[in-house]
Amino acid sequence: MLEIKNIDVGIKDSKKEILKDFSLSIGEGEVHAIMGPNGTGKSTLAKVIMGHYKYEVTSGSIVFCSQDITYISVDERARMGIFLGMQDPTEIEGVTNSEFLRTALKEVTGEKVNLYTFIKEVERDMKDLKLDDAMLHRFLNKGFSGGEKKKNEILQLKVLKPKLIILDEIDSGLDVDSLKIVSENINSYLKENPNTSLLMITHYERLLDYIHPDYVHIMQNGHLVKTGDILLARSVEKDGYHSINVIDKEDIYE
Amino acid sequence: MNKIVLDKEEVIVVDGDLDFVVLPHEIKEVYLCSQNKNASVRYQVEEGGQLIIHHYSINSSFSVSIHLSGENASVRYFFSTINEEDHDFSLSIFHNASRTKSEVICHGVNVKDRSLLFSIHPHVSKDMELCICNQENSIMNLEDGLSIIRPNLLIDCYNVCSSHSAYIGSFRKDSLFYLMSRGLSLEASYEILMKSFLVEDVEKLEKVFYAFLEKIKDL
Repeated sequence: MLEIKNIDVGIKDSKKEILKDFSLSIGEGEVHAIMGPNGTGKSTLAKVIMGHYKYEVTSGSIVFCSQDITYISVDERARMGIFLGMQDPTEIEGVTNSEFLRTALKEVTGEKVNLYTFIKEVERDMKDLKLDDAMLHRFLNKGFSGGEKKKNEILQLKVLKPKLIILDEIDSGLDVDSLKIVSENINSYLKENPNTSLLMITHYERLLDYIHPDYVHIMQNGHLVKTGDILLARSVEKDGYHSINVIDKEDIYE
Repeated sequence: MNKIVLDKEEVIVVDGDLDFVVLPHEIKEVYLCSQNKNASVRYQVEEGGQLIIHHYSINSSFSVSIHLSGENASVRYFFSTINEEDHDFSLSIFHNASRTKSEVICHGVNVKDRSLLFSIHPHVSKDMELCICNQENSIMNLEDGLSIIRPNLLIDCYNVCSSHSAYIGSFRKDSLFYLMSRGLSLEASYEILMKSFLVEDVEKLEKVFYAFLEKIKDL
């Protein structure tokens, strides 16, 4: 589904390089997790896949569903089915959640949204996420708590039904109960849509206890240094990143 | 405040200069709509009167003076403009009595390489105690237009509560990225941001000045 081939990524108008010769392949229905120390390029990777304006891919390619998306616009990527659940979702005053979701759904599906069906579905999704109905009429992420912001990202995901979900530290700012609710909703989405792939970026193994990854990657200095399964995440949790020895090239999943 | 019924709100389409009086303890809510017109408007608010103005303008220059003439008179002024030529909006509020209150919000989108000027001057003279005057002004430049905001507070009395702010810039790239990452095109993202910035109540504006909403779409 997603093939990232040897990309170098830097910050636009700067010589700073963040990702170096980075490659990753995610198949249909696979769940991947990337862990790594702060400042190693994990969030940059998520943003680059989505086409963030700050970053520039200087070499290599990103292919999604057999189409090269390296240089296409953010909205086209979203309409193709890529969804980025952000670490710190942007607050937009004056735009209500409801208006935003309906407009986004219309743009993604290319069809007029039936108001009755939309409200019924969103109300059901909000109930699943234990979100207050009033949130639909509040301004987008404005004044939301950390937990509400993250749940709102998952609400958008459930409404827009993407093929590839990228979750950038979705567990940060969530209490134990909220983490469980968010994870249950992601798991049920994956169950209902078995071809959907998931890429999670996280610092903590606890998220992976709820959403079981097929692959766990360790990222350091802008590239993947080791790939394994949940046991690798547990080892990091127990002994830290310094305990990870980069062994052979074949240990790195590409 | 008494509930204001939609049908009783006054809608004024500007076609020349205006003089408008709010009588003692009267509440007036006014929609002022102007397109390609330059005009002067003078308001007077008597004791305990409340004036609420929603002013939507396309390519127009305005000079407005508001006289808060009796105690507890108040005005809330929301000004919203789309500018494609050289225009200015000048608003002077005279707090001529104690305990008067003014709240001004001015939002403009400067579309082209032209000039847009906001001059907002509340005047509080000596002995006019316990007045409140607040203002918040923003202009979004879509191109390299010359936008100027003069948020002056002309206060000659110690016991006054006031604030002012001015922002000139463009719509935040992070906001555009967020909206586009959910599938909204650049055009749809700008439209939704402009609508939220320029319009207080879309449903109401649809009834009184549909052309303003159409203009946002055209941009």
